[in-house]
Amino acid sequence: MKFKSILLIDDDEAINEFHEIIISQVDITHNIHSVLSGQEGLDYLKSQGTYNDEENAFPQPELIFLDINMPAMNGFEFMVEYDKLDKEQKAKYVIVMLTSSLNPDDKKESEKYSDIIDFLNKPLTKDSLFKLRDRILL
Amino acid sequence: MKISQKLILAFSVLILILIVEIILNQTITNKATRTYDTLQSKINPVINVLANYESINKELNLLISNRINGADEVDTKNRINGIIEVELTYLKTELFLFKEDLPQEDTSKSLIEKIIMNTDSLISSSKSVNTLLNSSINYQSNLKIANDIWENKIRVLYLTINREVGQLSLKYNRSSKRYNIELSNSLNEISKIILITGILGIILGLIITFQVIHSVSEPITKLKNAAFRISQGELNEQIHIKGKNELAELGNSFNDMSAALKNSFDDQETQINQIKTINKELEQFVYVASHDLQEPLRTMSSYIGLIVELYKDKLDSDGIKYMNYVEDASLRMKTLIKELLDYSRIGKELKITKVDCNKVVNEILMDFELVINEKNASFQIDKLPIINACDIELKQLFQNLINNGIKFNKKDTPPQIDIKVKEEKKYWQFSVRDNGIGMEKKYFERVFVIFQRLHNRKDYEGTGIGLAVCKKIVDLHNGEIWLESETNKGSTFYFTIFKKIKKHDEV
Repeated sequence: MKFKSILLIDDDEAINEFHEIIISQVDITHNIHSVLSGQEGLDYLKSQGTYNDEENAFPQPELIFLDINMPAMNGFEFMVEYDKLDKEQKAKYVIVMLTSSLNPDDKKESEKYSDIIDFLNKPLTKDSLFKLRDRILL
Repeated sequence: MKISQKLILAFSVLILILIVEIILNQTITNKATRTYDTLQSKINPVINVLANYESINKELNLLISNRINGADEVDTKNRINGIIEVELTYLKTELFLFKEDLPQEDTSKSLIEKIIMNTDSLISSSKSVNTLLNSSINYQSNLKIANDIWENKIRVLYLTINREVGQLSLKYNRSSKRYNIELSNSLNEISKIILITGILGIILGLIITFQVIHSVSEPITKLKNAAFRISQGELNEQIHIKGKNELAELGNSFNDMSAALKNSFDDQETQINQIKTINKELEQFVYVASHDLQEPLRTMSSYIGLIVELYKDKLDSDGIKYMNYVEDASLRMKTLIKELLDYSRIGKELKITKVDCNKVVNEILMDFELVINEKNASFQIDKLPIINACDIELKQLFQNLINNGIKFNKKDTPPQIDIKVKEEKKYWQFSVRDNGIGMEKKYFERVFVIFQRLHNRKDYEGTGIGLAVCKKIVDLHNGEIWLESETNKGSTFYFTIFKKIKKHDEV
């Protein structure tokens, strides 16, 4: 069993590429795409901005890995906008990625959004990805 | 004694004096009024009646004597009739009424009775003479009889009445005199009482005033001086007010207050010292941590360089790309640590000197010459003041703001930066305005938080520490920093530097 598509949202290009490699290695998805900001993530989901011309080129993601600590629009600000999207535009699941351990304020904040189903530490590891796949798809 | 009690007592005495004065005055005035009434209603009318009596008696005697001697004018006859019929009867009645008013034992009573009796006789005798002389028959014998009556009766009666009225008159005049003396004595007494109580009241009032002023003003001056000394920071100040009055209580409360104030200040000082210690420890921690973090980092970046150099041929393009990522990351971390170090060092050696802001800004523009030429940036700068500030920190502040103004320009629009200054009473307000990309209102506060960035590193490089540094520097100068901005129109950063910077506020 594989995910149809995964979207990575993180402002660090290097870590995005690292995650793409790891996710490819565990082979849990047919498609993978990464964006560098929350705004770009929204554009991708709504097929607008730079993604306007290439309609259908990027299938709607089934799973989003979202970084919290980003410049301008941070992870939670992204979630505010994400909540306003149509159902077809949303992914099935959102996983929040954390640089350090979860602080209580962030936990409380994340409880507002039912789409957030889990928290994972950065960087993602093969083990954590396998476990995630087993939990969601099996 | 309490001041309020003193005041109440003093005013009670004053009021008592006033009441005594009123009672005495009232009594004496009543007495005087009574005397005056008696004089007016009992003495003076009698004296008037008696005076009238005397003259009427005299006139009648004279008229009858004339009549007997042949005067028979109508006037004389009428006058005699008038006196007999009206005036004597009226006077007699008046006397009778006076007599009725007199007490039983009064000696005047019998005298009045005699006068009334004699008057009756006089009236009847006079009537007989009148009748005799009015008839024309036997005039000569009638005249003789009339003459007899006059000689033996009327004249005698006239003299008797005259004497008796004289006696009564004398008596009444004496008592009139007595009452008058009494009246004037009463009036004298009233004026004396008013004078004495007035003087007493004034003296007592003066005593109260001096007493109260003395017992109030001295402690208040003490309190005022003590409060002034406390406001100057002499928290050990205690005052002593003699006595047991309210001001002494106030003095005690004042002492309690200054003691409490001192305690609270001491507590505060202890807390401040604790905070200072913690702050120092924290700084030390940041310093040591950043310093020690640099060691492994240096090893990492050294070896990456070595790998790229030695194994260049054996790595494929991905391998080289990943190595570049690692190198970038370690370089970034190096910058972050260096800036964190710099940030923690701000204000370590705060030295306030006179700084010429024009010189500072010119130096910065010279430092930035390359990027200014590259971006074709232009500046409009007010004539800036010479202010009290830490020169290195102030330069850093201007440098970061100018740098931001140049860095965050709109694509294809050369940066235009205005530096303005406004003098306020207590501080200078500077502003640095650019025509750059601006920002939304929701970021106005966040930009001053350390390592907060609004843009991706790919678009605008930097660690997100610049404005945090600015804030720390402005805080050190007791000032404030804020901004106004509109997306795509530019931002204006304002900051204030106090003209007088307190040395003990150094962090």
